[in-house]
Amino acid sequence: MLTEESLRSKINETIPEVYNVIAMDTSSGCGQSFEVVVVSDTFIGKNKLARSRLVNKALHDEINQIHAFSCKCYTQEEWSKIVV
Amino acid sequence: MPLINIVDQDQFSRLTTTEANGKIVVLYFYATWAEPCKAINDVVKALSDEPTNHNVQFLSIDADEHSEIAELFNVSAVPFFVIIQNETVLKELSGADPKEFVSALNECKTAALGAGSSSTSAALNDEARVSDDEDEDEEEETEEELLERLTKLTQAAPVMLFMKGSPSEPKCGFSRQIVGILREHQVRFGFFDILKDDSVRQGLKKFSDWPTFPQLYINGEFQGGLDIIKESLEEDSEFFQNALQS
Repeated sequence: MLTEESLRSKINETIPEVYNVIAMDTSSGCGQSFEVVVVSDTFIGKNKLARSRLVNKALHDEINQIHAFSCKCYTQEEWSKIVV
Repeated sequence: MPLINIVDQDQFSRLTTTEANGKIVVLYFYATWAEPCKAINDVVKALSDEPTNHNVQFLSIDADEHSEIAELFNVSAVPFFVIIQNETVLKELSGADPKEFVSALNECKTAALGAGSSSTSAALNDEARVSDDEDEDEEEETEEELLERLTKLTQAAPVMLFMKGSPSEPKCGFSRQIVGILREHQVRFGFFDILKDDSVRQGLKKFSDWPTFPQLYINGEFQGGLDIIKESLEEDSEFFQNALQS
């Protein structure tokens, strides 16, 4: 079963320059649906679709196992504007 | 199915909602004084009698007599065609070109082949499976055919939504949300229920290079899933209009 921690480590391993990553199990601990936030400057210059595709590729195996997945990808600058 | 001439609004409502049952419904608006309609009347009648359209409901509506219905669909000139399914407008056509109308109808039928619960989609699935057991050539052809079908499907309407369930009965929270967003922004869209066709469901994941549903296409181009659409709207409230124009 997937956990928030296993997703976090996979992201840290596969996506370059991860500044911050948040993973939330939105299926109340059932490991079936997750919301993920990834902050990395590897996203600079990429549009929303390209960013999501990067994360999708990195978490390809994990996503195939779960029912629902949603992710938000920010660069460090965008993230700093949100988290004041 | 035989052409039905609408006599009142109740009949119109019934035929397009409760009695539609997922069928494609063609609305043909005409006027008795309009010269081009005379020829088109015959064309529509002939099309409605054709065996390939046995599952398509053709309704003719006198735009003058039923101006309220005509107004609902912004009919500004006759002849005017509106192709709907499951209370969603798939296509609109103004003018008297039979070829244009026939090709528009065929596009909708192709999109509907998978979305409808008819045995046709089951047959398509079975065909694909049988070919998988035979030699490589057959397999490749099936993949090519699937690719062609996906290309047609994603272009079946300017805005195409691939979802779980139908707009009136979504089978997943994300799909329900995206339908809500499209309706809120009054975007006319065609849809395809991927739960009803597994080869499209799996094929589209590769085609769009996207692992989940719902998936939104605008003008044949993949836009993203629910998250991306929501974020795009936050940045640009005219997102749909702009995407449609590009």
